[in-house]
Amino acid sequence: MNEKIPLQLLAKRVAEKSGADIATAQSFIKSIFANATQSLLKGDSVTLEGIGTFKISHSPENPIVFKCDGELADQINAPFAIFEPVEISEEVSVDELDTVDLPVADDIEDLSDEEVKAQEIVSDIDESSSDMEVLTDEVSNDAVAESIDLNENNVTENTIVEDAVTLSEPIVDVVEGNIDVPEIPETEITEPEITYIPEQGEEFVEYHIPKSRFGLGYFLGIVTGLVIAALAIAAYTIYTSEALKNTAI
Amino acid sequence: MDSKQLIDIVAEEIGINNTDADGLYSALAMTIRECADELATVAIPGFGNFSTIKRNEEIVVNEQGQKTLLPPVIEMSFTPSILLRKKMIG
Repeated sequence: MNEKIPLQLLAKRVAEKSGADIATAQSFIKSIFANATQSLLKGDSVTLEGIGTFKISHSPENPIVFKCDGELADQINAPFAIFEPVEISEEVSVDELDTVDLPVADDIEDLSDEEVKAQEIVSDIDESSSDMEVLTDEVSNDAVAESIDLNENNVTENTIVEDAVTLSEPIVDVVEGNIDVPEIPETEITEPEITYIPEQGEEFVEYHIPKSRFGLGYFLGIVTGLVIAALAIAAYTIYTSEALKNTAI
Repeated sequence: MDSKQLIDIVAEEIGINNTDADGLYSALAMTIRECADELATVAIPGFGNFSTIKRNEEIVVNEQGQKTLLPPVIEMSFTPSILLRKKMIG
């Protein structure tokens, strides 16, 4: 913007567009404007198609009047082509026109924060939706496997398909009413592993016996106490019998 | 004088055929348009400068007092060189 294009650069750009060499383009440009000058000096106007028209004016301040080519003017004003002159009512003052509600810096920061939050929410939603897809895939596979098992038990497929629809409704589109059991490759259906348990003659029931608060220590304590009591009684008996013998003597 | 006459004269002067001269003229007009789009000034030695000026929106008032808001506009202007000005004034 506001760059000055000298003749050499102009000739180079013209040469690139026309395919001619730079020297020829430069002499062409010089010759065009030299002949235009000669024509103007003779008093003729010069019209350069796609550029504009040069006319002679008798004003010493501005001896040549230039009028831009209409097509060129439209092209350079293309950014403002949507605007048109607007009549302003007398009630509107110029001060009101100058007032423009521009967002202040704080508001801009707040808006940017909100935008970031919105982006975070969107990313969270995307992540959760991907999780949902995984879940619905699992659910639909389980539902299909279940439907295959239930078909063997003479259960109508409609109910199973409806169950699958309700489980995978957010993501998977299932046409209700049509009994279309999706074709699943055999490799995807994995049968549950069955471990063989040998049958026994009697059913083994493990009874759970609650533990008593009185354990072995309790009984040992009682026995020890009884032994001590017996020894004490025996010692007392011996002592009293000997005391009676002494008194008798 | 129009551009066609100029092209014929110039083609004869610099020794190129009219087709090449037409191509060169088209390229010249296109380059000046591009420079105008870039709001650049094209300087032609001995002739003058082509420059583009952006005028902001403005309010004009006519004789009846009616105000009209004019949209912004980019104008291409030509400023003759001092040499050309002297020649023209004589």
